[in-house]
Amino acid sequence: MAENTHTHWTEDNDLLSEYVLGRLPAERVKRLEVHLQTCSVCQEAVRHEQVLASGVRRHARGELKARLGTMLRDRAARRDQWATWQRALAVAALVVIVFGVGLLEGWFGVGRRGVFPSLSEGPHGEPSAVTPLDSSKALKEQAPQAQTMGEKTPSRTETHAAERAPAQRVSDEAATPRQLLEPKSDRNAQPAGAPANLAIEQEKKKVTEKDLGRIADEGLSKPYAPALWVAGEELTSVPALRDKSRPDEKLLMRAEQAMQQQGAGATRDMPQKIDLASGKRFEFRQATTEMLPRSRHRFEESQPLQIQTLFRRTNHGTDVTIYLDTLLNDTELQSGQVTRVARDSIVVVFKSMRLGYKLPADFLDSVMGVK
Amino acid sequence: MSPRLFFLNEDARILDMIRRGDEQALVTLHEANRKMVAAFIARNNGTHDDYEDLLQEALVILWERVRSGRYEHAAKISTFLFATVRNIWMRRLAKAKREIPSDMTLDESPDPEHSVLDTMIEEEEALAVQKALDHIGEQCKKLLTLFYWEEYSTQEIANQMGFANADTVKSKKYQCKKALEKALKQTAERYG
Repeated sequence: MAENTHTHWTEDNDLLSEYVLGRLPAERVKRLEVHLQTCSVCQEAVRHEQVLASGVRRHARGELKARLGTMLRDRAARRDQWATWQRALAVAALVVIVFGVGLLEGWFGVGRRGVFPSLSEGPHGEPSAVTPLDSSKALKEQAPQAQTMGEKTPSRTETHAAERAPAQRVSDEAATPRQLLEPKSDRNAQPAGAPANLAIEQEKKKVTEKDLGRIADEGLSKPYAPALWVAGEELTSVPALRDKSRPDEKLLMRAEQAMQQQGAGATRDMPQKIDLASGKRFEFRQATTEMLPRSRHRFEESQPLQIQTLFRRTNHGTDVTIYLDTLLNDTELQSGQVTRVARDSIVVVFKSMRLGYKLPADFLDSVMGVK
Repeated sequence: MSPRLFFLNEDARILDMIRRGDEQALVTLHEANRKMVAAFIARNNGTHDDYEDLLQEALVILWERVRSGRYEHAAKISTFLFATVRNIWMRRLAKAKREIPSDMTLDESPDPEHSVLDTMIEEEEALAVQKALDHIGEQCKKLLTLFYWEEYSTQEIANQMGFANADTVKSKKYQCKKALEKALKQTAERYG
């Protein structure tokens, strides 16, 4: 920028600005300042320009500070909001975790005994030979093992399920043998389930999944199975209420006829635990449902009208442990009569109740002889 | 589209953001340095409000220096900010006649040729200019800000604001200065 020829160099507005902003070369500044030392007009002009520049800078700084303050406040607000969301998410996650653990542990009354399979236990705490495993699959597919007492091995029909008298469990205070014989109007129809053989076959498959069950499974494929869990059903015992057209009633009548043929007196004289036809010995035991192994509880809960029973082969015959809250007295228990009414069905007759079971034919063959 | 730049360190990235006019850089610097500054101010008779104001002022000074090309990146940005905060705080303490911690000294001695009265007069006049700027229109305000604060050249201003050339900017600047002086005069007449 050429130095102007005016008396006062500060009249050149651009030169003045450049000087105030310090953009002029040192040599030129020196020459201009020589004039400034003696010219009050230029001194005032320089001072005015400096004030102007200072004011503009202050204004710009103030606006930048204001914008910065707004940005920082917005950021703090977003941070607080995010912190609130984080706290809410943490609480929600904690609730989900607690709920999940509670479900697994059965705190809320559902999913009892856990979702995962547990070790099976025998009736007295020892590992059992047979253990149904997958609860959901078992609940859906596990049909009551004791099915309609049919001459062949029919699939359980809904008609039979509706008509069959379910097994009864009553409290110790309320139960009497007489009550067991009385029909209950609130007996629910048995849910239609898989065919009997299918249920038993599924039971066999579940056995293979457990080390101890593997032995039973191998046994089931062969004539002699060491142990078997079966769900029995109480059959109608009141003659007045019998419907002779029903297949299970026919089986019951057949059992009674078989007993009568043997003679009442002969029955009393004969060892009471021996199957009348095969002469095989049955040893009956009873336990309350509280003593059921954990693995059987879900069956007991899903099929409350059925009686969980463990059949176990021994050297001297077959131990039958009936899990029933209504205790039979010892005399009655030991007086149980077992009659094979079909290839895969037996009826166990006590004084106050009659229980029907559907078992694999080969198992029955092994304990009672081939029919 | 400009190629993406990769920076060797955070300071370089921040400085590039400032040069591009990205004010988020100041927010980032504030977050990174607030604890250090807060601790310093608290140790030296300051309050929370003091630290916030000081840090923002230091950030503005940094912005000004970088944008005008007068910033020398000789040390870390946090070092510059801390030194700036320290200087501003010392001057404020001296002004308010608060107790100055013994381990602190003023880095800048006052100009002996410039009296306190002159300083006060200049500050008042600058404050008047600051207020008058709100009455001259946004375009003039922006032009003068780019020229005096960000120290853009006239050609740069022409490019930034869309003027035809540097001469047009010079002419416009002269008009804006006249408008500012007029606003100053009116303000002075209004308030005596």
